[in-house]
Amino acid sequence: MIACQEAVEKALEELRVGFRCARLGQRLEIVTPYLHPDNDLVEVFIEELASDRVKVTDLGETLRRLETLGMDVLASPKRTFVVQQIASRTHVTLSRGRLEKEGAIHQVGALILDVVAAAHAISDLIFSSKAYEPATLAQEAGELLQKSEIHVEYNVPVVGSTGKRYRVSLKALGARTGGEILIEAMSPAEERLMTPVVNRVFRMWSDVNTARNKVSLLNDDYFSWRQEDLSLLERVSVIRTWSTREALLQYVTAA
Amino acid sequence: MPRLAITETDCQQILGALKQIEANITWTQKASKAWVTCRVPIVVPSDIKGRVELVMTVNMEEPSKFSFSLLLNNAHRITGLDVNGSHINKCSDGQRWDHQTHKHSWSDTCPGGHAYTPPDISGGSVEEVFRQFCTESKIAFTGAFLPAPLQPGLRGLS
Repeated sequence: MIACQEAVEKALEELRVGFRCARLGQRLEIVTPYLHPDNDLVEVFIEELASDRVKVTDLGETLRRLETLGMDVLASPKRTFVVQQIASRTHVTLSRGRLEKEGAIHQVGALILDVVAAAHAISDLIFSSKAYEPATLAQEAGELLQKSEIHVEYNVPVVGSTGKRYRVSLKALGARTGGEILIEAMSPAEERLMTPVVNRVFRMWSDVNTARNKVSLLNDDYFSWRQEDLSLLERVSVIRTWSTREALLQYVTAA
Repeated sequence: MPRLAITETDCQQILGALKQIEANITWTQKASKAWVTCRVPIVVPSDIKGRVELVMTVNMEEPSKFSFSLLLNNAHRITGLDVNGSHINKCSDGQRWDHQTHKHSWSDTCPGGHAYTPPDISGGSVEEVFRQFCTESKIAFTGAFLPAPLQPGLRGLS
């Protein structure tokens, strides 16, 4: 087992080679080994002030980067508040979009690390954007069918016998007869929404022409569906699960 | 495990298509920000679904630092250029850039996290780099380019 001292020394060694510094006009620019979500390196700048004091700033690079990625933090009061909350943990201030902290020259190491910590945490806000959302079950199912050269349409309008209009996740054309197969991808945003989703889909399939091929496609990677819900759906549709997606493919291929 | 909503194939399709910027390049400057921004729509072929835009930002205090992003639906960076930025290819070949220009590409194994040195970007001003970026990204630019309103005395840009 490695000793504590050796482990710490190894980590410090990594940091030592990871930090790089260059003079940029009146400032020092420090490239740190800490990563933004896209593996860009966190950069901070040191400005000398009067009376042996310095300011460490990101020059606005953290929020500028986010805006370039489509997230205009300062256009949203809520996001601005979150950024201020994050920065305040290390007594870093937000001024004209810049993360900054001032102190005595001998504190410069701590100042750098505090601004870096704030920049690092704030840049992670991008993980809460649509950019890092997973593909929907409908997208994945559609691609699975398309790979087998089955024609697929998304978000298809369907009118029920009551006249009510619905949107079905997918419409596939059966590979054998060319008949239409309606597929509803059932993947709730969270567990507590499973029952409302079953209720909605049961109602829709009950209302839509019974002669049509209707498939309830369940996301069973994340959810355990209750038997009583499956029984309901079975009355009005064919059930397929994502974990056994080959069976979905077989059904559409045979139709 | 589900995949991300966008794939390398989607990005390649958008990058490979002939595109156009008809709008003029003008910059938005706000007192609350240390940078200026330009956002313009990109006209794409009809088989590409979604809204594609070019977002450009220039740091006003250090104008040698500027970035461009080709965004799909204001979220997915199809490709992006960081001028005089720093980066490490942590999830691919380990190459590192310190205050150096690099371009991000999207791959399924390293989404948005892989960069390379773009061979066709050599300009010194925002406008030069913008025009080279457009050429490299198959974007025809038919508008007018208005220079970024930089603070007087700062170096480097038109």
